[in-house]
Amino acid sequence: MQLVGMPEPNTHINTYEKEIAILAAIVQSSQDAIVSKNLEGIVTSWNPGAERLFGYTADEMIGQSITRLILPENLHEETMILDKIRRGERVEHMETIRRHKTGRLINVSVTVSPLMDSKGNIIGASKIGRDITEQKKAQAALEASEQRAWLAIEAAKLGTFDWDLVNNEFNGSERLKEIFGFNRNEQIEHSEYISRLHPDDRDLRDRAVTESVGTGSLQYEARIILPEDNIRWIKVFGKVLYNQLHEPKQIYGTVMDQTDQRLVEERKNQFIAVASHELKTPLTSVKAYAQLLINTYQKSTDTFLKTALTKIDGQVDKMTKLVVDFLNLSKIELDRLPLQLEVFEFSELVREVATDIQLTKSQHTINLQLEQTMMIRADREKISQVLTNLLTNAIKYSPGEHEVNVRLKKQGDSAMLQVIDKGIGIKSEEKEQIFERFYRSRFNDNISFTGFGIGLYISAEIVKRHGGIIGVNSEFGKGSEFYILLPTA
Amino acid sequence: MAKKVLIYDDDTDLLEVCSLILTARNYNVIVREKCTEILADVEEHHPDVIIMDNWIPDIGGVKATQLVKNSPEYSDTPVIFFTANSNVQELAAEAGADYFLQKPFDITQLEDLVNMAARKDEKLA
Repeated sequence: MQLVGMPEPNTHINTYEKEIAILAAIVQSSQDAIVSKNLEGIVTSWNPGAERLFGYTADEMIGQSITRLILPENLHEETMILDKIRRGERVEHMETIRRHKTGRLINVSVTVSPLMDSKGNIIGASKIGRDITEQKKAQAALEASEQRAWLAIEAAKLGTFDWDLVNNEFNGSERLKEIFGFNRNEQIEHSEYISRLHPDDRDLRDRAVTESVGTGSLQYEARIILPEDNIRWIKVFGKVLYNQLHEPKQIYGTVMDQTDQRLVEERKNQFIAVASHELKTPLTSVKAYAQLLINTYQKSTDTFLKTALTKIDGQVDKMTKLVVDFLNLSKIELDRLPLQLEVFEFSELVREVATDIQLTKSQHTINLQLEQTMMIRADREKISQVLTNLLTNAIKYSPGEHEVNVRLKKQGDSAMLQVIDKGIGIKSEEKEQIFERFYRSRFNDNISFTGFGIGLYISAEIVKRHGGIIGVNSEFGKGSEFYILLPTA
Repeated sequence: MAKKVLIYDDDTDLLEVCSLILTARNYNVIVREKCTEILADVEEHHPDVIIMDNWIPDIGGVKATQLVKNSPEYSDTPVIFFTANSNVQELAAEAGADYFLQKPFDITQLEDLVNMAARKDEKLA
């Protein structure tokens, strides 16, 4: 036991040995490969990091040439390294490729320093190697992704911006300046961009910016007024970046010129509105005349006359429905079918629609099995359209049968409605396709059914836009069960 | 005395069939293919009910209805707004009409609405 303050014998030697031990421990535990070699390139030490990186054990490498790790085409590197070492120079962070024991190529970064003996003669080199394969991969992926982003931006003629929220600095790309009607090379302040926004759209833009801070994404469409008073439509999409305190610090974004699309859309809308109006106008007169005649000849004994008039009236209804479907389809295409959401009792709506349909279809009995108090938040009119479609389909596709069953029950957080018929059914390969636009079944050649094949497509679109699910279970020749799941309120 | 219905539509066939339907219900029907002179028409005929189309020369049904609804003398005259446009309800609301009817319609719907509108006029009178 030693007393405190007493000088230790052989202090110098002990300290030296300790240092060596510490260094050895560092080398042993390092994640990097630490290797030494002599001036002939023969390995003299090999740490566990080197074993991990190159796959060879110390026993396998010590006494062997380092060139074992080097690809034949890179052998000149080793000559260059050894030349530098002989001159007493270092090689720092050289990125190259080495071969693992298994033959796999690895990207490494190597630093080589001269090793000297106690007299200062260069006797070899120490080499630290690090696996940078993952880093290289990540870098390559990043470059590729930057390239793709750049291509997308160029191809879509997108303007881009970078808005530093902390210093309120706004940088727009040349294309952005062009979209806003500025010169590509001008220096444009944020306020100058804002001043070109249509006055009626500025509130909307402000709200979108405020909201984006919470949601992380910025999205709005607005008009800008160009110097010659021309209007241009833009669509802005941006992403908010936050600091560690989750305070917004930056918004990156793209701006798309949508003017042409808007014009086409407007013309299409106008065309559809005119076409549907023009088609319905003659139908209005035909229907009124037909019904007037039905009333007039109600007491006539001429049954053919009465049947014919009733048929005319029925056909007008069919035609009207087709025109309305077509208009709805166009609206869906334009994503312009706004939902008017309200909370209502689902079972009441089902009963209402079923009763209406029952009035006109006396061949089939519609049996209702409805659970009560099933409040849903939905567009009553549009859901009623879906129900009408499912029920009329069930009747239409079960000729000769006499009943259709409708069930409504709760399923988790959803209202589950099933419309079950004993009709012609659907082949399993068609189960997905029947919800596609213009799809008509290929398997009922012997029976003819009218329609555009858009009823189920429209129904599916409506259900999806409510966040619901539509589907079908069916056995060909035995009947179908169409179901919709809608979230309850 | 028979109640008067003033109908505006640019489709003469529809005007004719509506006249036939409503005359059969004992209404006195007057028809117009243009709505330009609506205030003069109303002043001349004092209709109990007006039926107004949307797309009608020269000023359109919405404006024409507004003219009636904004005039101090005739604002109480019930107006049925009918059109083939699917947003009939919005258009009727914009015009300030009292009722709307989607074309094509069942003639019973037309009869019921006119009866209802004519009774409303009675109460107010």
